[in-house]
Amino acid sequence: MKDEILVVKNVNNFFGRKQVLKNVSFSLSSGRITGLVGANGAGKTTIMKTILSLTPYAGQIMFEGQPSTFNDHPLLNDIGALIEYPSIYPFMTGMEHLRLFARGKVQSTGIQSLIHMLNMEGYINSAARGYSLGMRQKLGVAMAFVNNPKLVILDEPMNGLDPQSNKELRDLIIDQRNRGVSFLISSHILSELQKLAEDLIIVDQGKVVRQTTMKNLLEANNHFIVLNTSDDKKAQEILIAAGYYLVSGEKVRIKTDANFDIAEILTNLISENIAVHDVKHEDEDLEGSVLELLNTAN
Amino acid sequence: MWTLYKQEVYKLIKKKSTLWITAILILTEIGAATISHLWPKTLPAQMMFVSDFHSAILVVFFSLAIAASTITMEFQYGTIKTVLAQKYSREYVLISKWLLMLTYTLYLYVMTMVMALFLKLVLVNGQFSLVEKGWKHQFWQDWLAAMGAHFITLWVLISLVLLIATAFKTSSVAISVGIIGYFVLNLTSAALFSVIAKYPWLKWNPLNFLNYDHQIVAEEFSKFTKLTDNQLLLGDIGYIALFLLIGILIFRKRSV
Ligand SMILES: Nc1ncnc2c1ncn2[C@@H]1O[C@H](COP(=O)(O)OP(=O)(O)OP(=O)(O)O)[C@@H](O)[C@H]1O
Ligand SMILES: [Mg+2]
Repeated sequence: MKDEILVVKNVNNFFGRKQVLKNVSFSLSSGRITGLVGANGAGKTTIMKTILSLTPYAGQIMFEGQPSTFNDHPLLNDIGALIEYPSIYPFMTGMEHLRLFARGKVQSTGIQSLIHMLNMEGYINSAARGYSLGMRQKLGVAMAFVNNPKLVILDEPMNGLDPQSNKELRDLIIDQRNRGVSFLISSHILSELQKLAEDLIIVDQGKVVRQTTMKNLLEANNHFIVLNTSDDKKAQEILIAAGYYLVSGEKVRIKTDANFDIAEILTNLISENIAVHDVKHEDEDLEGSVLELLNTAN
Repeated sequence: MWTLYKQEVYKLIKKKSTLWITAILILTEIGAATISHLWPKTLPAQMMFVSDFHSAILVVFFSLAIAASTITMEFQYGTIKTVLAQKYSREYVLISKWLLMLTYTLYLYVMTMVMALFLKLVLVNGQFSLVEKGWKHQFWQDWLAAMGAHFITLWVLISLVLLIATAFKTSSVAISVGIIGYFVLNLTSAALFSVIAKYPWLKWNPLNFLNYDHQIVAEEFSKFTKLTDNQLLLGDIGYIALFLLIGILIFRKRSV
């Protein structure tokens, strides 16, 4: 059995009369990066706030086998988080933020290397009121890591980051993951999440509709073979006649599953004197599969 | 708990206003003492010394403002999420803020009182003596008692402001209530006392307990408040505890 760092069981959450989380259950595997995906208002932030005891809830939460409740939550010693937008006191510098929340044993070398990895040296000692959106975001991320947490929860961490910062953040996350840190990350930028997440939780209207691995989800995806031939029109006719499923359009785009045989396709065409100049593979990405999943869920 | 308290102190020290407040208080005292030094007849020093050379009222305003902002800034900046996403319980988070306010108000009182003593010795030493007869005991004893009563009364307002800040998350409402509470009392005390004369049970209302610092200085006040000094003291402590407790109850289940 795989090691579970966090187990959430039958969590329900209300804002006034409105039920925001409906029997939410999932678990996070230790040392893995889990992506939390869903439409606006699906309940991603609320799930994260629930784990952090920022909002009252009914249900069970276990961290490394220990139960946690809204009022008694020692687990938070081992969790770092950035929720919604970064928590920043404008009158303090970035460094002062990190010092403020760093607990006794945290060495300043740890803080330094964090600053270095996120490339924040240029402004870490100036007052946060002058920070740009991306600078604030990076400070928020750094604060989530400052106490060497076992689990890091990041809500839309790529918000406002430029491509360079994005890569720095990704490198930091992967570096920490390789040291055994577990992650729960929500993001709307699915192409970014696809580069990071190993597991996926998909939520819709307050419910978990699917918990799976990235690999499984993508494998179940559609694959396409795109051919560039001497006569695309004729090639399409031949392949349809041979029983292949083609996507309509100018190009010869064949929908296949994972275990197709390219040789068979080529033989079909060559025997009809059609030259094949180029063969390309196309895979549907995470965005495609998530959209498809959410559409079928509704 | 100690960690939370240290975090609160750290934040307070990093605020620029903390430094200004001390500077403004000291300058006010120096100003008032200097004026009394120059015109002792028109502005006798002994009267001013009782209010720490006019800094006591400023201490009230500053304390109320800091009390409100220590709570509401966390909501305003969204930092409440980071503060609460630590292992400590909600109760401890709030208590650490009360302790910060306790430390801070004690600091302001001690600082302004030490400064007042210093200025008396340096600028207006000849005008009065600390060991002469005050209104009850020796003057210095009465001064300490007045300061103590002032402190307790201020804390009734502070606990109310902390409660309102917790409930409404906005500084302006909380500070207004505190400052208005302070002034309303002075403006409406005549009306309040006539109502109390008619309906004696109304003497238990919190506004009446804000008269503690007045009554300590002027004994005849007890004819109007219908309460003894000790009743006022215990009542004040009771109201402080009540307001703080309601604050905890509101904060315990709040979603942030
Ligand atoms: N303070 C609140 N009061 C009332 N309803 C709320 C509150 N916060 C969130 N909700 C509701 O809870 C639901 C889930 O919100 P949540 O913020 O968890 O969504 P999300 O998945 O994080 O969305 P997004 O992608 O936009 O960040 C929404 O329908 C929202 O209307
Ligand atoms: Mg959200």
